Amino acid sequence: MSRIASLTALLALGTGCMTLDFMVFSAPTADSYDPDPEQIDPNLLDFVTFEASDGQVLHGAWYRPEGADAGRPPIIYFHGNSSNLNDLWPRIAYYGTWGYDVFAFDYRGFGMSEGPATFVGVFETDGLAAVEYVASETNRDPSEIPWMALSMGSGVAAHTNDEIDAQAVILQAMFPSTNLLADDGTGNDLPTGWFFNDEYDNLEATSNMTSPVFVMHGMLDDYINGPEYGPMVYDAAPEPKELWQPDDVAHADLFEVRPDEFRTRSLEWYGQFGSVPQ
Amino acid sequence: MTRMLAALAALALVGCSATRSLEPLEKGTGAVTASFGGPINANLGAAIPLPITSVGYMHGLDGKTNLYGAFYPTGLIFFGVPGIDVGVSREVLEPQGARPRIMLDGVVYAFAGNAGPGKPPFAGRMWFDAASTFVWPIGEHALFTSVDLFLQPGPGEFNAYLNPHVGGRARLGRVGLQLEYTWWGPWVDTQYMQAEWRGPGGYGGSTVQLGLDIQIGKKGDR
Repeated sequence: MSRIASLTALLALGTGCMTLDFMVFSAPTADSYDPDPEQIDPNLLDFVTFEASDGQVLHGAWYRPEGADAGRPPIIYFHGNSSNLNDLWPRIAYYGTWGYDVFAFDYRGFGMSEGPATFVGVFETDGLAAVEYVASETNRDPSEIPWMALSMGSGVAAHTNDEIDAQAVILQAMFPSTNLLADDGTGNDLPTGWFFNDEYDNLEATSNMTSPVFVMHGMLDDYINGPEYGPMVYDAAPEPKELWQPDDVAHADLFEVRPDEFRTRSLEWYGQFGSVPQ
Repeated sequence: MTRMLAALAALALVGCSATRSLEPLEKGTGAVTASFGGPINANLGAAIPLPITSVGYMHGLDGKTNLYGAFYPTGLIFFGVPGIDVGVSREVLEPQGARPRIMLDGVVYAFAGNAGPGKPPFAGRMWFDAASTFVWPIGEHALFTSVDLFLQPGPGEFNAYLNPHVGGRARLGRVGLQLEYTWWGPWVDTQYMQAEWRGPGGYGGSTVQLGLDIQIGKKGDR
């Protein structure tokens, strides 16, 4: 929690006007990006900045593994909460083994991207900026570019896809809304508005997605309710869509527990809507 | 996110107030009541009872029946969500020897706060609780066990919790100090709850509360 957020909370305490929006994001900052050579080849990384529509400067990284097909669109990775690029090197390297160039980025407030993380900023602005940046850099129509998203990043992807197309989207371990998190998380029926200004209604955003959606949610995910939320998100998504609920996967370890099947299923999915690495 | 839910939880189980009657007050007398404590939560690291607070008043109606009400400042202070409860309790069996006194309680809770953007101006909730309490008087003091059914009807969902309680109360003149332990939702699997409750065997949660009552009017319970 930043000093500003702490001060705001302190001032709000006693006035009855505090909301919990500022607690939604667990955004680790970074002074620099330091890829671990044991996790990823730093020589294959390019660090870049790009600008969101409101002028916010965001940081991202291209990973261009040797052997990736330069003629194929890259994959955009939307990372989850409580992490920044420095936590993602193994994942980025893993997606690189699929034969894609990978573009990952930090939302505002995360990593080296400055500014407070807010719902409008992160969910409605930064994902869109990343897609537009990648499309521009690669001279491609956004609808040619596949997206991969995890957890909170899946919410960002869902809120972005009603603004701009993708080739196809994979949503891993997404929470449907803060309302459900509050109710399921505490075992009580609590109106969202008591605590939040924004509902982070990922379920509604999913229902407005314009691109094919593959929902992946491990049955062992007890960080959020994986067994229930996966089908819930799937039901909300428009066709074409697919659901995979691996029974030995938790919240964010799909790429570690089932790396081969994850790759196979993902490429089969993307392959229905565009070319994929062989 | 887990801190968020810990804070939510501070308001969540408001139904667990330690204001229930352990005996009927004399007709026309009353007691100021207060309760502090709540479900044990470990989201912030250490497992500590959440600081749910209530202050209220209890009135002896006819020597067998108490009317009471309480105000919950916790939610108001933090989130602008005021809450009250009003209840009635009645002695249905007097104690005799090892036989405990039996008190029956019925309580209604009401809370209201912002509904959220693009919605009606406020969102309210009414929750209901029915309890039967078995009280063993020991002089001025008392031991008790209780079970309550806490009902949360809401839009699109309905939660019900059957909660056992144990506790004791020491009385020092007009002042009663009560300590109560509740195992809420003993059958509720909390595996998928982000709020980290601490229930025996991983089921439900534990609530620890301190209660205070200061009798007004005639001294004595009956």
